[in-house]
Amino acid sequence: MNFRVDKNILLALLAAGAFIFAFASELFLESKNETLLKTNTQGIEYKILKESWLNKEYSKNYIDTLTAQMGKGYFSAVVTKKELKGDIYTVGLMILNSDEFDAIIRQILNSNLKINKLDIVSNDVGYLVDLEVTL
Amino acid sequence: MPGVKSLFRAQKISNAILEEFAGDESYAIKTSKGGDGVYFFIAIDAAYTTKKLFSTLGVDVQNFEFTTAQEFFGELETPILISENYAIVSIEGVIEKVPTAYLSQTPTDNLNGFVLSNNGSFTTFGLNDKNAKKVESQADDSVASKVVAASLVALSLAWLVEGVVNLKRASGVGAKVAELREEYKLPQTTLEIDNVVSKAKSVEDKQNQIRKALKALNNLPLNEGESVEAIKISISEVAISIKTGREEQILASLKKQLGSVSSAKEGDKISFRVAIK
Repeated sequence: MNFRVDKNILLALLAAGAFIFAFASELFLESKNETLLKTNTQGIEYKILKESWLNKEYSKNYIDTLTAQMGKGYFSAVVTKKELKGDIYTVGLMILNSDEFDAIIRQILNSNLKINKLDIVSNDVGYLVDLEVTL
Repeated sequence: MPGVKSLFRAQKISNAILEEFAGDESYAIKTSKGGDGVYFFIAIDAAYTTKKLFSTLGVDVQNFEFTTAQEFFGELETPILISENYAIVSIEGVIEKVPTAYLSQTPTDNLNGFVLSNNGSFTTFGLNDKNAKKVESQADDSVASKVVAASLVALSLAWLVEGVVNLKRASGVGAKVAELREEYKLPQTTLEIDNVVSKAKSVEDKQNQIRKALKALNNLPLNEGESVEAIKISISEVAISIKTGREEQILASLKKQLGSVSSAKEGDKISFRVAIK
């Protein structure tokens, strides 16, 4: 039996095994780094979304602020309904003035309110607006 | 030899018998006792012999020790078969070649080519030319073999160290990921995080679609006599009801802005619908 050849074969196998180990560990590290990058990106996205579309306090305050000045002047918009059930906030408005109507609709559209339902009916008196949002 | 009655005495005079080899370090002198008071004095060229033996026996020269057949087989307890009919036995410390038919004990070992016996005495064995050449090339290969072995060891160590360092770094990265999940209040598993983030993005996407559709519908340029009767928005659909006779024109304009838009006539009103996906 040629012991030198056997020894070199064993060393070659050891080297091959060490190479596979190094390569596999490299791939493992790479996947971990990808996970880190993805987690950081998703974390930032989620934070932004939570502060905008998923911000209950913001949504409630926005509607309260929107409706706070209504009914205080002539031909001003009037709140016909305001109901909070759980996370569902329902508001009914009657808007007489078309300029005020445009302004209110613009405020709703430019907000981050999570609109479930927005019904607008135009009649001879003005506009009837039924807004339902999820906080 | 007169006056030489033991191997010990024979060893004492071996340098004198082989005086031309005694001063030369490349030779090893061995003394062996045969049968009938015969003593053998042998000068062995160490380097040459070890090379030759390596090629036939495969024994590494570093591990090789010179001995004679007499010393090696001197205390045989069981006979060794050297051919079909003859075996080597040890009789009173002297190795002898004996016909197997004379043995009461069956020989258990086979000896092939190690010792050639001739007329009751032992002789050293010889190698043929083919094996001699193989031994010479083996000596050249041994240096290259050491270099290869050293390189393989160095590479193995380097790769092992690299692997361990990578695993350590990966562990650090894993800890950082856990920190980020804690900081952003994300769930623990990747699947759950994907689910939560995609749901939140879906909310944003739908709301943006609603707003885009409503803006387009609300900003439709209407002619005199035309009016928006109603706007109905849900999370699945945005619909506008307009008193108009320009169904095709308005539909084309809305399709240009919003893509897929459907229309339906409801009396004197036309209802335009955009699906929210």
